[in-house]
Amino acid sequence: MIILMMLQTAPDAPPGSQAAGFQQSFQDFFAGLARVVPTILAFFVLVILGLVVALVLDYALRALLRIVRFDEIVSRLLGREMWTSFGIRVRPSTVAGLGLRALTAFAFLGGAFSVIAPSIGANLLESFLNYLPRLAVGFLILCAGYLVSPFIGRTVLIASVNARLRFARFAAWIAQALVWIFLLAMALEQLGIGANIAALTFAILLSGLTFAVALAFGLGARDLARKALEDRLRDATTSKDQWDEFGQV
Amino acid sequence: MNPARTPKALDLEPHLQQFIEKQKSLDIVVGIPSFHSGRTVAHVIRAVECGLRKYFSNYSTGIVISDGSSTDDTESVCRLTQLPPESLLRPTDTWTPIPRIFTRYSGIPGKGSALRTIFEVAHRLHARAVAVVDSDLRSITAEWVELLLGPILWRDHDYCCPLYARHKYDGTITNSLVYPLVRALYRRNVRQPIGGDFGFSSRILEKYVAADVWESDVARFGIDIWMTTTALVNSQKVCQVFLGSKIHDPKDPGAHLSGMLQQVTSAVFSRIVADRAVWSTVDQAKELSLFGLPFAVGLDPIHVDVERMVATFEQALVDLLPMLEAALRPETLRGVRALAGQKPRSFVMPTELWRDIVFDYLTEYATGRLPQNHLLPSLFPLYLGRTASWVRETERSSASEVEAKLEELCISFDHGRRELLARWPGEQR
Repeated sequence: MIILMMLQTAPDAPPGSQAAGFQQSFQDFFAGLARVVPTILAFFVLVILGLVVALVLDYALRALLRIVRFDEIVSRLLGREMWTSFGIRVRPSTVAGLGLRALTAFAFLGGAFSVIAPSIGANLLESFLNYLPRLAVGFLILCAGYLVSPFIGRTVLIASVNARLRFARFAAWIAQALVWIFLLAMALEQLGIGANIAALTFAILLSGLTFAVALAFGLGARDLARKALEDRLRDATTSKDQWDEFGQV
Repeated sequence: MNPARTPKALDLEPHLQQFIEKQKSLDIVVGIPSFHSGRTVAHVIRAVECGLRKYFSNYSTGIVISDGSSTDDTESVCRLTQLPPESLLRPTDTWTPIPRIFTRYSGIPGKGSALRTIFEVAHRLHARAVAVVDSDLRSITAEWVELLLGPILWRDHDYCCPLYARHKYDGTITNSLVYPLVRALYRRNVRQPIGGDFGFSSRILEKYVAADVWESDVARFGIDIWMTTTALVNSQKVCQVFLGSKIHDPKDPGAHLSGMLQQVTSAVFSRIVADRAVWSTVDQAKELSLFGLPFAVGLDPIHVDVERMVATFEQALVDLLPMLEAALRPETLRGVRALAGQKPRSFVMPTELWRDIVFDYLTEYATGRLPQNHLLPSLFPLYLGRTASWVRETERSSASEVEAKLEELCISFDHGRRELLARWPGEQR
């Protein structure tokens, strides 16, 4: 921009006025810079402040949750070691802290934009504030999935092993996947991202999965299916001696 | 049981109140909890009435049937069943009917709620002795009534536990878990703590009526162990009576065994945790008196699929490993994993290892760290492993040899008691 100004003033200006032109240009430039810099500085300060506040709030929330033993409460309800056993290695308090950090940082970013371009920033902030409830609900749905799916997976796994199913782990995986698919569809619908597509995808996946499992069981494991049915029918008509093998405590 | 809380008084139905007002008091009450027992309850009623007439004709007696809203003909059978006079050989001067009442209990569906109504009626009738017997018994005789009530009325005992003759593969949950645990911790050799048929005195009845457990699992399925452990912690006068074989009507064959184990384990563990302050102070083991004449009975053979049990055990070692790692101590887990790969016909789970498994699960249950509905079902494959081992070890054993092996198991549990107490939650230093 400076070079452009210099070129524009250079050709037909008298030698004495060239210096004045340069001076004027620099003055204009610095005057412009002086007008813009505080805004830019304010933008960066707000962004950095946002990140710092987000970080502090994250740590504060995690500390608070540690004090109230949030992780222990969740693990008592859902299984202490489920985080590692099902591939999830993040603690619930960490998830909550990260969620708060992201929200805070985003709010400050909106504020920072409102300094640079008040109309855009205000719109962004307004949109964000309007969107916040949906975002919060979507986040809560995902949190529920995060907490509930391992619990359901574990329940199915234990029940399947106890029912002597050979595909216990697969059954548990299917159960967890179904919970996630269902909750993801719900969360996407909340966020307004392809609401119909999400619901349709869920329906297709669920019916496809059901069909695939039915086919796999019916065709791939015909013998197992027959045996399972025979066992069930035999159980239903069994005599006292047969079921009493363990039936009585 | 929470002694600090007073249980909500049980509202009895008007016809039950009228029955109590009419009878005023009875020396003996026999209770029969029933649910869809139309096929079997008639025999139970006749046996009870026969026993009362035969052995307790000098006492005022009554029968209370507490039903769980059966939709079959249980009610009409209960009302119409009569004891034929020829059931008793000795002539009697009078044949006054024994008061009998049929009622539908209120509260959480389960045997516990049914018995609660019976307790309440017996208490309001100032009964000196109460007996409860299951409604699906096919082997009950008049002598059971004498055996369950006699020690209470004539020998100053407070609680009579049943002792049945059972096939060596029958009652494996009792044999491998409940009996050794109760014996090691409560220090009394109650062979059938969850037998289902009991006799007890008014002193114990007071404890039952005053208890605040009727909103818990006791009301559903944990009543038997609760009755026994309540008697054990409240009285020294507990005895056993030999009743011969116990033959049930086949019930709920579809019920999954793992669910049954979970119920029993939950009931036993919860009582042990609740009574810890009491049993932990009992040092001296006490042999219970045995009444009745033990005799050999013919028992139907029981077929067991050991291979399937071992297969489930092996599968759990792979699929449920994270759960087992959470529930068992490292040394116990090492012992369990060392069993992998054994052939079903030679599968052995050492007695000490099974004891450690049970104690680890008990302490984990007491800490409450793991959800119960994950912890307790995960014991099932290990229990199957233990049962497979038990079947293999006793396949050629006689009844007395089986009891000797069971004695070894109990001694092992006894030896682990001190260590269990030392690592009980809150006791570690």
